[in-house]
Amino acid sequence: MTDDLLELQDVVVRYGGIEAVRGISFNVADGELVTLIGGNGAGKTTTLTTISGIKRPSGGTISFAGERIDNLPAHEVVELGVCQAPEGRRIFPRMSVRENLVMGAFARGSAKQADVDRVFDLFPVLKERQKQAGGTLSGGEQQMLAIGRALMSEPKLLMLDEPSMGLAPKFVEKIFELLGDIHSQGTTILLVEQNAHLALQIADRGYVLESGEIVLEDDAKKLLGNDQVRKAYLGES
Amino acid sequence: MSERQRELQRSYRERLQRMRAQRSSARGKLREVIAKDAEPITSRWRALRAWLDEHSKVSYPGLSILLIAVIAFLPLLGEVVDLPSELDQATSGSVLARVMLFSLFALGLNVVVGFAGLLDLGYVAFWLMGSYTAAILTGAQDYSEKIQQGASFTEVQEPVWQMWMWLILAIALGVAIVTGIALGSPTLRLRGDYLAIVTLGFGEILRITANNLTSVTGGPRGVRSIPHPEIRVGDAELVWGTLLDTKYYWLLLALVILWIIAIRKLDDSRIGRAWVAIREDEVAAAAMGVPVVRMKLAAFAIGACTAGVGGVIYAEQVNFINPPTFSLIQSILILSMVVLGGMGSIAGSIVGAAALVIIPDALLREQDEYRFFLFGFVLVVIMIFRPQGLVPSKRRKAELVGGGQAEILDPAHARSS
Ligand SMILES: Nc1ncnc2c1ncn2[C@@H]1O[C@H](COP(=O)(O)OP(=O)(O)OP(=O)(O)O)[C@@H](O)[C@H]1O
Ligand SMILES: [Mg+2]
Repeated sequence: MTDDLLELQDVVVRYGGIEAVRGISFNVADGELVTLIGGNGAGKTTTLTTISGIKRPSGGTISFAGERIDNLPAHEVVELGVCQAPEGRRIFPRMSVRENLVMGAFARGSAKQADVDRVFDLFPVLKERQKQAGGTLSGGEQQMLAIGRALMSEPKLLMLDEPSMGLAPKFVEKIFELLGDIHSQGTTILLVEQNAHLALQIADRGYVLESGEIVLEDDAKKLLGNDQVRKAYLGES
Repeated sequence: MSERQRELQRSYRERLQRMRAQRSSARGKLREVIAKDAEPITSRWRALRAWLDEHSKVSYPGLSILLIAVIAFLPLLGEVVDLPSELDQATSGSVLARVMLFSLFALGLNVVVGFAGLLDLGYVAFWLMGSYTAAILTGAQDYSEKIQQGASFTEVQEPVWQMWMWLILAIALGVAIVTGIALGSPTLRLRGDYLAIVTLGFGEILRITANNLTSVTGGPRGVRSIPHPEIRVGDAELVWGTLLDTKYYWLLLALVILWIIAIRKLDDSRIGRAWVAIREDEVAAAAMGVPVVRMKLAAFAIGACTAGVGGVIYAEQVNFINPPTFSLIQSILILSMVVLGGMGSIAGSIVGAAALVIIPDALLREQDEYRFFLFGFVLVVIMIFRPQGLVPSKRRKAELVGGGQAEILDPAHARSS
C-alpha cells in the first residue's frame, strides 16, 4: 500500500448513455494539494461528486486511506473524512451563517463552539454575519461559508469545486491565499479549477482533464510552464 | 427645463399616482374595512399576545397545563353556559373528537410534508392500515363474515374488548411503519411531483385492495361491530361508548399531546436539522453527510405510524369501516389542514384541523346546500390573506418571503406586476 490518501483507478462514470468520465486514474498523497484542471464539461464536477458517493461510478475503484469507498453511501464517505465545498457553493440559503456551519459538522455528531470559532478565525467576515441568512451573503462570502462549512466536518481530504467561480479577482486571490493556509495547517486538498494559473500556483501537483480523460499530469510548476497548458488554460497563444 | 417639459412631467406623475391608487384600492379597501371592524378584537389580541410574550417564558409548563385543562374542558362548556347553537355544535364531544382525530393525522402528515418537504398525497393509506389492523385483530372482521354467511346472531359472539387489545395500538403502529418503509424505500428517491403521484397511486391501490381482498378485509361490505375500547383495573372501569362519547375526545387529546411532545423533541434534534437541510438543498445536505434517503424514510415512517394509531381509534370509535371511508379526498383534506395551518408548524396542524372540521361540521351546518361552496370560499380567502398559513412556523415564514435567494418573487413585486 502506498501512502496515498485518495486513489482513483480507471474510474468510469456514465449519465445514461454518455460517458462523462472515461477511465481516469489519479492519486492524492497525504498532505498534498492537488489540482484538477480542465475546461467546461471536462468531467471535473462529475469526478468530485463520484468521489463523494453522491454519484456511483460504473467502473473502476476509488479508495480512501487504503479502503474502497466507491460503494459507500455519501454520508459514510463524509464520515470517513472526505468533504467537499460543492460547485456553485450550495450553501443553505435560509439557514443563518452559523446554522450553515453547524450543518457542516453533521457527520461528526455535534458542533462545538470551538469548531465554529476556528472557522470564524479563518473568515472573520463570517463572524460578523453569523446571524444573517446564508442566501443574503455576497458571492464571495458565500464561497467562504461553503469552505468553512466543509471544514466543520474536520475533513482529512477537503475537495473544492471551482471556488473562484463568479468572483472578482481580488476575492479569488484572497480565497486562494486562505486555501494555502488551510493546506499548510495540514489538510489535504483536492482543488478543481478552471482558473489554472492560480490553481497551479498554490498546488503541489496537477492533472489536466479533457473530455473525461486525463491528458496531462505533472508537478504544478512544470504544468505552469507547459506549452499545451499555457495555450489551452492560461489564455496565451 | 422648459415649461412644456415640466407640464408633461406633472401630468405623467399624476397619471402614475392615479394608476397606483386604483390598483391598490380594491384589495386595500377590503383590508382596511376588515381591519377597522376587527380593531376591538385585534387590539385586545395584541395586548394578550404582549402579555403572553412577557409572561409565557417564565411559566411555560404552567401555561401549557392550563391550556390543556381549558381544551379538555371544552365539551363540557355547553352544560355550564348557554351557547349559540353553532358554538354548541362546535364544542360537542363528537365534533371535538373529530378535531382531535384529524389533528393527529395533520401532525403526522406535517412531519412528512412540512418537516421533510415530501409531498404525500396518499396519506390515507396509513390510516387504512391502522383501521383494518384493528378490524381484523379485534375479531370484528371474522364476526362480520360469519354474519354475512348467514350465521344467526345467537350462534356467533359479537367481539368484545379485552384488555390485551390495547396492544393493537402498538401493533398498528408497527404495521403502518412497515407499510411506510415498504412504500418509501423504492419511491423516496423520486422528487416533488413524481413522489406526489406515486403516493397518490399507492393510496388508491390500498383502498382498491381492501375492496377486492374480500377474504381478509371483508371487501365492499366492510367490517362492523368493531368493539369500543375499555379499561378495567380491578373494580375500576373506564368504558368508551358510542360514537358520540366525549371520552373519545379525551383519549385522542391525550394522544395528540403525546405526539406534540414527541414531534417537538424530534424537530429540535439532529433529525430535525437534517430535514431542514434536505428541504433547503438536497445535494448540499448529502454533501454534508446527511443520509438523505434514510432521513426521508424516517419522516415517512413517523407520519405513517401516526396515521396508523389514529386509524385504530377511528375504527373503534365509529364501529364500522369500509373501503370508501379511505378515499383520496381524505388525503387531500388532511393535506389542506397542514397547508392551511402553516406547513412545518405544529400549532398550525392543530389549528388547521380544527378549522377544517369545525367550519363545515358546525359553523356551516345550517347552510345545507351552500355548505361546500362556502367552505371552499373560506379556504380560498384564508389562503389569499395568509399564504403562510394561520400559524406559520418561523422558518417556513422566512422561506415563503424568500429571505435569501429569490426563488419566490417578492410578494410586493408579484402583486404589482
Ligand atoms: N446530471 C447529468 N446528466 C447528464 N449529463 C450530465 C449531468 N451532469 C453532467 N453531465 C455531462 O457530463 C459532462 C461533464 O460534466 P461536469 O459537470 O462534470 O463538467 P465540469 O468539468 O465540471 O464542467 P464545468 O467546468 O463547466 O463545471 C458534461 O458533458 C455534462 O453535460
Ligand atoms: Mg463543474
